[in-house]
Amino acid sequence: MREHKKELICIILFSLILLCLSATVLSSGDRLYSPWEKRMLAQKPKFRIEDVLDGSYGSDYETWLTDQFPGRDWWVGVKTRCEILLGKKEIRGIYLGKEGYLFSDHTKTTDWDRLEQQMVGRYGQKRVSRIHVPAAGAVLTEQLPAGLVFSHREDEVWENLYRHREEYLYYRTDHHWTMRGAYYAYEAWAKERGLAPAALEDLGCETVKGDFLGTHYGKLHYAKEADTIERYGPDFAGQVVYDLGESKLTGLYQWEHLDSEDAYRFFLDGNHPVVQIETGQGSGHLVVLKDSFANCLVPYLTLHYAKITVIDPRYFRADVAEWLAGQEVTEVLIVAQDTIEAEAGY
Amino acid sequence: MVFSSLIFLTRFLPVFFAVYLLTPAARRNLVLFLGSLFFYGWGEPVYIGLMLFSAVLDYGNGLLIARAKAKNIDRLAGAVLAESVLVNLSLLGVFKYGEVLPLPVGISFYTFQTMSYTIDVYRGETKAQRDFVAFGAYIAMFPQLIAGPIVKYKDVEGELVYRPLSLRDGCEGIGRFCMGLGKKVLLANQIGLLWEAVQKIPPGQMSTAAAWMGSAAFALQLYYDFSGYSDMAIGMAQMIGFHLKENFCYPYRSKSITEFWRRWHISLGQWFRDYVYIPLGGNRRGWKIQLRNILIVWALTGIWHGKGWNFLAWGMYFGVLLILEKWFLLGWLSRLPAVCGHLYAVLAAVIGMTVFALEELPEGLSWIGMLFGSTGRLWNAEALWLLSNDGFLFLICLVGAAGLWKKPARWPVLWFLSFFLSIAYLVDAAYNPFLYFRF
Repeated sequence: MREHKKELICIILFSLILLCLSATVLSSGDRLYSPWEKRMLAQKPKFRIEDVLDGSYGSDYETWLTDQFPGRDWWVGVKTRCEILLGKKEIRGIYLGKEGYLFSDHTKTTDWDRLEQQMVGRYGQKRVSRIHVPAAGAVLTEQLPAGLVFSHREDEVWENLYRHREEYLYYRTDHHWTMRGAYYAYEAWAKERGLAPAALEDLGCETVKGDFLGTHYGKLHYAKEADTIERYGPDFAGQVVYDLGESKLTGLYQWEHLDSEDAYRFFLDGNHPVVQIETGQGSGHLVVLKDSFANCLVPYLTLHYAKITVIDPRYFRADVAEWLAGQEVTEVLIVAQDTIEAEAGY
Repeated sequence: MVFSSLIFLTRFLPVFFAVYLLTPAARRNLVLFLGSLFFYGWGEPVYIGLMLFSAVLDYGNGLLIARAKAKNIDRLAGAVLAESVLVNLSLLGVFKYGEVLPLPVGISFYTFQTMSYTIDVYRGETKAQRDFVAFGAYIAMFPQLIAGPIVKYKDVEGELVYRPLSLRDGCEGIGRFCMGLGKKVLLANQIGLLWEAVQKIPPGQMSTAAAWMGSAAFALQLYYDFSGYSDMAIGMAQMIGFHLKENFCYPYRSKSITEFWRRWHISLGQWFRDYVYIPLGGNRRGWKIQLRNILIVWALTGIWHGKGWNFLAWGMYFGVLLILEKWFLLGWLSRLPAVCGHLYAVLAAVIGMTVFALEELPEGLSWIGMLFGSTGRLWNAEALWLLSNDGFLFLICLVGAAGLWKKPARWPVLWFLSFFLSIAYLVDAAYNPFLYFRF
């Protein structure tokens, strides 16, 4: 027996590992929802003979097992670290930049160009404007991994962001810009529209969360350092109605999300089909057609318009133009990410 | 079920081994047989019927051939053998090359196994198996059911009856299995992503360097995928007391294609040698017959891999190279320094694997064109980006495939690391973040 000691240890160890893995799968309760993946997880399939015979029980069971695998976030982090050790710079569509910056492509979320044309057709060129939100990689060029470039649109918004690229404009661990990043876009846009933008110094700044981990972190379960969420505070004493009053939420900021995995929802409660704001200052009615990048930009706009209607066309069930037909609209602003994909280059 | 899945690793494997070890030796074939049927039927239960049909048929055929031979009725024995081969080939033909039905997993492997059995019984090289459960355990044996190696009945005949478990086999088997799992999950799947990435490069951005990277990545993927599966099979078989023959032996170390095919998918090469090439006369009936035999064997080897024309072209490509080597190339190579042979064999193999990878023949040919500079661009930023991303993994794969550092395969620490990381990669593969809020 003695000469087989090594073999025995090896077999016992392997059996224990298998046993522990299998047992934890059995003992852990089913989770309904994965906050990082933002999707419902598969539940245990019901045993039915016809499902077994056509093979669907087998595949459902497998999906359930992998979805409910204990500590999957942790395992994903292990894999990411292994890939980083191997020198990978792109993992799961996330580019690992310098200084802890994680970048991603900006994909087309909906047909914003068509929407813009539709609005121009209705309200005229002069009353419709657009902010193309550049991808972080198009602004923070120094932080990109070597060998990768993002193309960009040479417009005022990009130039203003690029001029301030040393500042904290984009989150490291999330695909969104910071409220400071949104400010420079607002500033450039306001000047172009002939409005007087508020000065950043006058707005006041407050750190609302110091350990923010965003969507990029959610994909990799890895981050060199966490982000901070800062709120710049234009005075606001108005009223906010979410989803035409179907939701009981009020206010521009939703503090309860700061402790969740989706802390960016702090701004305007994330994506709602429609949010109506009465600012109690300024004049006119601004319609903002937007994706999530606008959520931290809208507070700046409250300085200039008496009424702001924020519509997310991706979730808005009715036809936007038809729904607006009965209302008096002064201006339309479209805020959406510019479709930009990283390319190899120097 | 595949080995590289969480359900196999955390459900089937522990339960099967627990039951197997607790069962008295005399009943273990039954556990293996039933366990294998369950394993086979998990995804598509209907095909259990097909497997049972094959098992029952050739169990009967074997007994019939043995009985006929014992009574010296050679024509009857021959007729039964012909029927067995015909039925097996028809099964293969209908399911693999017909368009109608989904391909039953592993059918190419188990039909070849049962044919080896009936042919060997006919030739008197082995006795017919009277115990149906033992025969069923041989046909359905889950470790090698899905992707080989093709085990000849006579090679495991003894172990089907008596196979003691030993600590040494258990430990070595665990090592083989863990390293095989790592080869599949950590190397093959990952280097395969490089091949996918190269294929996605738009034509205007393609370069010679990227084309070679892609082809080499696929050649490595195929090797690690297949040999990793064989290692897992050999490892699990060893854990339960079977000693299967090696299926791969560092093929990319070869100095010629002749040598390459002695090191790549060895069990298939041997099957065709023993049951096609030699019965056709091999090399003993003049060079014309030998030429014909080589071409037949390689056409069949090609078709065995799939129904696409590229597989036939792939087989013939190797057949022609082997003929050239027998004719003069091997002589030439033997007079040159060894490095020339290595270089030639690796390049010829990588080009061959490219034909294997691209199912449309024109696509394959245009890819080969790119390997030889048809893009007009040696390298560019795109190629550099891919290299900087996957260079290190590529290097690891190359060192492993060339057999330059074999020692780590014997370190238990590495076995467990390989298993642990494989789990992480498998969990990650099922991790599916959804960027926008649920619709």
